[in-house]
Amino acid sequence: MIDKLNVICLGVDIGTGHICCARSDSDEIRITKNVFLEVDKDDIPTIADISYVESDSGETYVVGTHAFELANMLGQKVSRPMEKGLISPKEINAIDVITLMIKDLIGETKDKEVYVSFSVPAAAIDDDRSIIYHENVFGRIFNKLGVNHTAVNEAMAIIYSECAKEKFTSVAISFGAGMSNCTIGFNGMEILKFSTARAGDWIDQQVAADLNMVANRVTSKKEKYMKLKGEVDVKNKKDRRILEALYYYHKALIDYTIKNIIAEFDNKVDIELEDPIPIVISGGTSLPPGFVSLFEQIIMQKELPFEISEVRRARNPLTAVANGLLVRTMSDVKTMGER
Amino acid sequence: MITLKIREKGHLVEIPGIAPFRTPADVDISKIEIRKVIGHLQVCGITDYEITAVSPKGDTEIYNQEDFSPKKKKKKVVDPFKKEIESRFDRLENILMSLFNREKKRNDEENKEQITEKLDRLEKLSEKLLKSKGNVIHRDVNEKPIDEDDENLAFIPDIDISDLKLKSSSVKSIKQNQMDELDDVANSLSELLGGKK
Repeated sequence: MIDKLNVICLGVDIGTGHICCARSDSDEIRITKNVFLEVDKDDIPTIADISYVESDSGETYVVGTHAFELANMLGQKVSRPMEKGLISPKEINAIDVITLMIKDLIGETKDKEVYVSFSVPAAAIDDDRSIIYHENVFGRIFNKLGVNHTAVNEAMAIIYSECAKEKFTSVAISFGAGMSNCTIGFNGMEILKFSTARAGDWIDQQVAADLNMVANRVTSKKEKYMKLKGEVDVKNKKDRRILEALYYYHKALIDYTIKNIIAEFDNKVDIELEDPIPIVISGGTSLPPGFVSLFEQIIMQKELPFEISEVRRARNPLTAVANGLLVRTMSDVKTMGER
Repeated sequence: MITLKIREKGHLVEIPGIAPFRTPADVDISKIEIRKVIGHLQVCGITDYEITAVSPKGDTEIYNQEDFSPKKKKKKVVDPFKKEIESRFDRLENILMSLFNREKKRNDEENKEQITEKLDRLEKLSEKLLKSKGNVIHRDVNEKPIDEDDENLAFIPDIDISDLKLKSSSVKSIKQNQMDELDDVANSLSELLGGKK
């Protein structure tokens, strides 16, 4: 039997935009932005209240949400440990910094047996990068932190979190920062999974290129003002232009994702789903008000290979994956205990 | 009944025909072809496992990775040196037996000397034979070099965070999980995936 007092289950969502951790011994989910910013050591007194990493060799990195805020103040571009859902090939220090960020996020686990399910994307259908390196490196990170680990598909985790009443049968789409992940789950098993390299970052980069801006400025405006329906409380003309461009690219992203769901289902799924199934939408890119209605509006115009019962948003699009991963870990640990 | 027991921690094993499970685990694989199970374990890199087969009469047999290793299937190599020595010893034994029998019948001094002489020569010949072929090593050419070490992965850079210090934290907490609800959801998932019997 598993000793509940000495075992901690975790769900760690490692996304391009955020890292998020749910623990079985806490009713709080911990989250931080998955970014860092290398700064001059001389700046340390002025940034004393914010989170930073200092190495023995003298490098200083501001990490997480504080890095993002500081970069916007300084008009600089943040460094991202991950790109398009996978470990960034550009950032040489990414693995060490992200290890420290994950350690901080997990928190205290001394003298406990710790089990984690961590998120991995599905292989992208429109990008050549494989997920093998990414999955193995994160396995090593958790080994280093002394945690028993299992990689679980990100969108399947949304089904674990949100679709218990449908017996874990659903379509889940995670519109993240680096990737859009889609999985069709049937009775708790994955029957189709894929991802596309178009998501929130793609939107921001397109808008930045169209309006000659730095991409993280666009992200900041999006997070602050973006609505995909109704009035927006923005008077500044340039900001309204940004929101206009953001709207077009959100629409294009949704359309692209739905077309790929239909194509992938037609090509790869043999079973016929008799009953209508829900579509659950999650991820940081789905946060702007009106995203789900826009999705519904676009999908209704398409001919789908299965019937939909409803389109709904995850209860918390930022934490649903971590929550679902925790459910999966708890389920696995229970199974282990009963064997 | 055939059961598979895996002791190594941290693997998610997905064998077609049974629900995915996380290791360490003890699962019933009676309805799956053994070669499929072995194939999946090899793909996952799992070596520390046991397969226990219990017959209807209650006889139990336990197999592990070594029993399924290709080495077991190799043909037995017959050592030609050993074979030659064995046949020569047989011949020597026959000669000695016949000499002994003759001695019994003709017990005179001359005969005793001849017998001792012949035995001395035979002894020397045997020693010579052993020395001449004693250093030859016969090995299967398909066998791996003994010094090869597959486990040595020292080229992978270590993740070293010992010189990094985190000052303060930008982690935010969101109050959300209802533990009772999560526990119920985890129960229904483990039931659905076949964890509960």
